[in-house]
Amino acid sequence: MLGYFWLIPLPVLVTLLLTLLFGKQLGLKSAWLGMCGTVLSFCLALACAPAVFTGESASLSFTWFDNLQFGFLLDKLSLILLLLVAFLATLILLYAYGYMEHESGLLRFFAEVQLFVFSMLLVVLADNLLQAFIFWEIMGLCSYLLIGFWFFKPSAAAAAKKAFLVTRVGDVVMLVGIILLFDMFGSVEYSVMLSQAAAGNYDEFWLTIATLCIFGGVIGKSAQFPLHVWLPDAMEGPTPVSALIHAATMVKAGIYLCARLFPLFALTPNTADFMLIIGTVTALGTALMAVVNRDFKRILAFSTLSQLGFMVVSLGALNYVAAILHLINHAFFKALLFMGAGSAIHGTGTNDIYEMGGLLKYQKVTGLTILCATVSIAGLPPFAGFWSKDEILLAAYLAAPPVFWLLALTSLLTAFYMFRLFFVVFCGPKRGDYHGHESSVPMIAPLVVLSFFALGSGALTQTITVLLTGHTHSASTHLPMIVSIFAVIIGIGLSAAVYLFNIFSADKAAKAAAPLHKLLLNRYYIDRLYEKISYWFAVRFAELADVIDKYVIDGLVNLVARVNLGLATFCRWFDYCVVDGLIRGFCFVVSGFGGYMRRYASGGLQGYLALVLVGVFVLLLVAIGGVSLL
Amino acid sequence: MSFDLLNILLFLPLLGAAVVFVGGTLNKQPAFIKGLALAVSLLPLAVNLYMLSLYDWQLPSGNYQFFGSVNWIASLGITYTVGLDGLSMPLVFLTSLLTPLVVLLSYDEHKDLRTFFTLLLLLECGLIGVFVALDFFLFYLFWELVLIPMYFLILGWGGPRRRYAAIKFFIYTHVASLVMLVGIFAIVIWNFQQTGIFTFDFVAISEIPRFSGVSLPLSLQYLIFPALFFGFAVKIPTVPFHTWLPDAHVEAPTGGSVFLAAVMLKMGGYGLVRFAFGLMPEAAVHYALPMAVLGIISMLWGAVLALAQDDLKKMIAYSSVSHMGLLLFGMAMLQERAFNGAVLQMFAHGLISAMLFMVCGILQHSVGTRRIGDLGGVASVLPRLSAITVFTFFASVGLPGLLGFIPELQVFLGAFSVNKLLTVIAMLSMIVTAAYYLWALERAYFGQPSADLQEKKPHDLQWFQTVPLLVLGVLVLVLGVWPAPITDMVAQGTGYIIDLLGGVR
Repeated sequence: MLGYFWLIPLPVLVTLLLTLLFGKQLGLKSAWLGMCGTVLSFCLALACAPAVFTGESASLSFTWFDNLQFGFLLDKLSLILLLLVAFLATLILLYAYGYMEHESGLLRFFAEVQLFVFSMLLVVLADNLLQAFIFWEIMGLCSYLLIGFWFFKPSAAAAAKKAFLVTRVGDVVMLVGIILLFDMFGSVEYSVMLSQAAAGNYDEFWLTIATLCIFGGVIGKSAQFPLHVWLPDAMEGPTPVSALIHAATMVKAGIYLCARLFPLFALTPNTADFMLIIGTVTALGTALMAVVNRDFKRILAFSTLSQLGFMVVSLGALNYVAAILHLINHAFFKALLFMGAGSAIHGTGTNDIYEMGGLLKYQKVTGLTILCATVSIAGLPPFAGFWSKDEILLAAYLAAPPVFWLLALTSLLTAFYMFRLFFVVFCGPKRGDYHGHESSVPMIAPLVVLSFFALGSGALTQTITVLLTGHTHSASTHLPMIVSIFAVIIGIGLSAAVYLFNIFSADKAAKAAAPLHKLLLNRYYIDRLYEKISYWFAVRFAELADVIDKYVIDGLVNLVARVNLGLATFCRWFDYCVVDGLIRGFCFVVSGFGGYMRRYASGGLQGYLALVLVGVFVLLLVAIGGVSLL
Repeated sequence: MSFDLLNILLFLPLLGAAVVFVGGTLNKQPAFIKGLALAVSLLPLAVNLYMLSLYDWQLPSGNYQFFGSVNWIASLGITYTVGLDGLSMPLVFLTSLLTPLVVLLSYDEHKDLRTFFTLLLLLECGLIGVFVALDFFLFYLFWELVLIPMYFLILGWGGPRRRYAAIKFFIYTHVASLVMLVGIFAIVIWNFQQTGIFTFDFVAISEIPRFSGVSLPLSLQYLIFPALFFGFAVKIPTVPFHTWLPDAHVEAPTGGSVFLAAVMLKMGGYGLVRFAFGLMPEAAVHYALPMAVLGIISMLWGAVLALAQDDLKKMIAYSSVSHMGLLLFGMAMLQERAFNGAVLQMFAHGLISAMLFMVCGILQHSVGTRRIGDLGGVASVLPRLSAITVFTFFASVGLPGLLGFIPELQVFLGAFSVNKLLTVIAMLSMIVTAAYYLWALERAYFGQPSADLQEKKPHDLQWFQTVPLLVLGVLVLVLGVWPAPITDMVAQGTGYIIDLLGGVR
């Protein structure tokens, strides 16, 4: 089976083509077609699992063009990701079958989703950075198209553009990094680079620059500070898209790539430190924003940012296994949260959590599954999120204690805002005037399935650690775990006190810290700053350039033309008046004289006779004169 | 036999032009003229495809195929020498492919079809001639021949400011050609002094340094190279010689714009590689840095200007300036991979810019305007056109998986090993390019359509518009996924020039 591992993404490609061909007729049923593809891919990946998990790996590579390689690599890390992606894609397609029921443009939707799944599978399977970059960009395209699925909404169109352009900045930086690595190692194949680096064939300065550039791409795609701004806006897309692309898979591609290149990062401590800082800033900064937001999906988006920050910290602390563990757990519970959010929004018709309230009465399944995800993400033991977060906190504690304490604070905030979300939406009185009803079976079935994983995937912790590192992991200190448990309990307690029992008033707190509240609501004004900068560049500067082009560069061209024209006019004048003037003057004299003489050629016989006589007379005189002179 | 094939390919369009003109005079039915023009324009394509099947991929670089040489005006040393190699074959193919597609696309043209199609076919003849001619005189003849049909296309079927644009286009490029001609004469006279043979035959001239080791003296090269460069740079066009291009594009009819952007700009790049770099490698190395800087300035300046445009077609015209900057930059890096990428960029940009101008022209025909400010919500009204526009824009942005990405990758990958700083600056254009395309998409195609637009109920793509776009789109996709055939061909064509450049360094 292992020899045919490159077939894994193929079913998705086939169903993508079938969708393109028959999507018009199939309509909503394209979802089933898509599921066939992802399920087949999942089964193929599963069939490879026994061999891979016992230590084998497979690769296949061939020359693409111009001595550049194109290849696939299946090992434990990529297989875990393949299984995860195919599994989640299946569930999300099932969910979309329910969610997209009343939408038009389904062909577009399902084709784009399948193209996304295909390229995500290939990012994971790639055996070199360049190929990963190629499908990384195609994922970006799918993200763009799907965020802008409702393109007639100006906000969606703007969000799509923002997402693509912001990630594009990161992608170009990353391409610089890839080219730099290519320049250093003569190849961007993972195995070549890693073996070369292990052998010490590198220049530390340039390797640091290269890893920083690669991390730049991760900052874009995995939405880290300062390129995090696109992810909250990306929530303009349909909810299945938010769940699949902007929570569970695409935004994790950066984490996966760093895990792949982990030995390179381990060789460049400066880059690792930078990752620690960026991860911490993102984790804490975005968690704070999640605390004040009112939009269901945006809160989840900020939470995704924050959790991605945890993963980056873990990478920076040089514990990529913890990052992968958290990646897996987060994929489960965040996909669940988004799909639950979609179900709630579907049922209430609003995104504002303060217009929901008491929803548990109407949506029991949704509510309870979201509760499962909430306890998991909050990090309550013994649920999934707790285990991986504990690993990360431990890694951070060992790498840099200040980072650990900030992350512990973030844990507290996570528990706080997640339970705030739960309490406000599902508990308390009904605040909005909605006709609550439970969503259809295709929508809640994936929720139920995922809730088991959200609660229980922590059980995989040891297995995956052993798979990836070859040995079990035992904590050297329990302080981080104890701190994190306390943080979570305090967070939940606070949240319950404010939003469930109304002991404190949230509004009063907001008023008390009005400047901070305003700062957070405006997302630290970072978006506004970027808008200003891009306005100045795209409008002001471009207009200036246009004017320069029109009046200076083209002005010179026109000036040359004008000078030539003036010269030509002068030449014409000179030609007409001077050169031609002389000739015409001569003609004028001749013709004037002729005109004068014409008088004497009047046709009268007497006149001619007189002239003849005069002539003869003159001739005679001349003759006489001539003779006399002689 | 193979020489004859090339002659057929070269003169079939000329014959076709005559046939269309006579046929159109005899029978004035528009349907007849259109059908005739299409049939006639398909013939060169068929010949070209047949030639592709005969093409020898294994031939060492620097050898011409379908080669032939005949004395023409023997007393002046003017020969009729033509031939193809990996450098010219893609461009000839591009020309013969685009002609039937443009004929098809112009099916809704009404004004004087007979002359319109005759001019298009004449243009094709001239363009193929430029790419196959291997005699300086012949090359110059075709080079100038191209100007005439294009001038009349702009003048006869153009927009409101067509007079200004047509004359500017003609005179600007013509003056540049004259400077180039001076350079050519200098080369020919030097050759006469060295060998005693007065000939315009490029093959004969270029073989002298190869066999006798006597190449153009440096001082002469440093003088002649700028002269040729100026002639080619205006055609490419390179900032600051680019201002004729937006005007010509804005006023030209769609078919004319397609040819202008897709093929005529490549004449400059082709001439630069074949004649300037091929004959004067020392001078090319000498002037490499200024050329690279000019290339980068073109890339960035063109992109920033594209951002400022309100006219979709003008935006695309400036994007051409920007993308042609990559060509100059890649060549000037004098590195194998970058050089090949630059040459491939000619072909890739040919396909993609043809699509760009097609979608833009169709939009104008259908909606009646291409001002971004007046548009908005086009995607709701014209879904199919919008879908293919998104595809085209992303192809131009350089999305991996489409042909636009391949030359970019090659150039940057190759250039980086030569000059890291310049490459990184050049790569900034990738961001700006994405910005102007996506911004245009957002403003013109997305959002709510205006009531006016909805009432108008414009036509979505019709079959004669779909077919050309589909043909080009499939090529862009297939060659983007599997570029080996075209990159191999380009590498075969450029190999000997890169050896020359490398020999100099």
